[in-house]
Amino acid sequence: MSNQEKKSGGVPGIVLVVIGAIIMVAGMYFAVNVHPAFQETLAKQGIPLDLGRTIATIGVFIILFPVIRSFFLVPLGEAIGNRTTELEKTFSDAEDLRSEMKSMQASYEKRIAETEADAREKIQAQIKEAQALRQRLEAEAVGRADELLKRAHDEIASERNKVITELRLEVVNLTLGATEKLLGENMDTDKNRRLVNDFVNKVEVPS
Amino acid sequence: MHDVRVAKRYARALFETALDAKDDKMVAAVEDDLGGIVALFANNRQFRDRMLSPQVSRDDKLGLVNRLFSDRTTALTLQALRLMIEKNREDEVEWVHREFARLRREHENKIFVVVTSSEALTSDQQNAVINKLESATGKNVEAEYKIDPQLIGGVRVAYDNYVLDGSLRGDLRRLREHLMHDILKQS
Repeated sequence: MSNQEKKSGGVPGIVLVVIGAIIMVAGMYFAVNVHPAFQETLAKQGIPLDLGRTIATIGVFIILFPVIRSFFLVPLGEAIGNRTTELEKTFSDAEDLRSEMKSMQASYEKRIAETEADAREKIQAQIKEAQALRQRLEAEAVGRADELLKRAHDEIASERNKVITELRLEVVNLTLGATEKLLGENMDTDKNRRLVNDFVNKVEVPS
Repeated sequence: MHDVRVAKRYARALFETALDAKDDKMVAAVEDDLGGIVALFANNRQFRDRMLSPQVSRDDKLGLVNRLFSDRTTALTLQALRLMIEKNREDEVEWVHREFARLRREHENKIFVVVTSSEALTSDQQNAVINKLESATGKNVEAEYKIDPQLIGGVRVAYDNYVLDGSLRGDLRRLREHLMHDILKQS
């Protein structure tokens, strides 16, 4: 209370109470013991003014003023101040919360943007990979088809060569068989003797 | 079951024994005896079946051999044959004979030659062939002459691991191999 009085720059409350009590007592004393002439004049004129009581009432008000201020106005001001502080704090918290929410929103938006970019990048990569796979599969299919075609050509050529070879071998067998038959039919002792003599003259004997 | 190693051991023992004998003709006599026994094996089915049958006892086989060969072969041959029968090696007689002949030729520095022709060779042709082989090999030649009409013409000489084929059949075979080689090479 004294701090508030100092802050307000007014007279301390106890001094006002003392002054009020003095004024009240002086006013009662004046009302009981002193009867000024103008009061009677005013009373006759219809104005019942009692100066002593008025002074005493002022003294009472002087006493009541610091009391009211101490027990009502100051707590009320403090309550109002606390309420104001609380509201300000609430507003500050709300502002902080809003800032935090904005920050989170920005973060979320950034993350969403990053996620979308990442997703787009992955999709593009998957598309490229799928295209590469398609090209590879197409190339493999073409290569396999070429290989099958080449193998078929080779098999045809092989079969053709095989048939030709078999035909040639058959011709050789037939020819040699006919030759053998002709030789057998035309062989006689003289020819055989010449053959033996040729063998004896030309043979190279390994030692 | 035929076992060449066993036949070689019997033949070598028999040959060395015949060689050590005082009789110079013992080797030839034993070889002739073995040749006769082998010929009997080859030509007499009843003898062959009896000698090679596991159901005929050893004593019966020995008795049969004694009856057939005691007065027709040398004692050494008969003794060898009895030993082979006692050891259940009677099926090795043919191979013992072959190995014995080989040892004899080796001892006499001879080579065994099989001369095959489509027709029988005259003595002049035989001598020409033998002289050619002896001059080329530096060894004496012991020849066996065979006739094979399949040769068509010419002559074929076989000795050791060599075959000298001068027959038309051989020429045709070589021509066939050459042609087939060329054909298969082209394919």
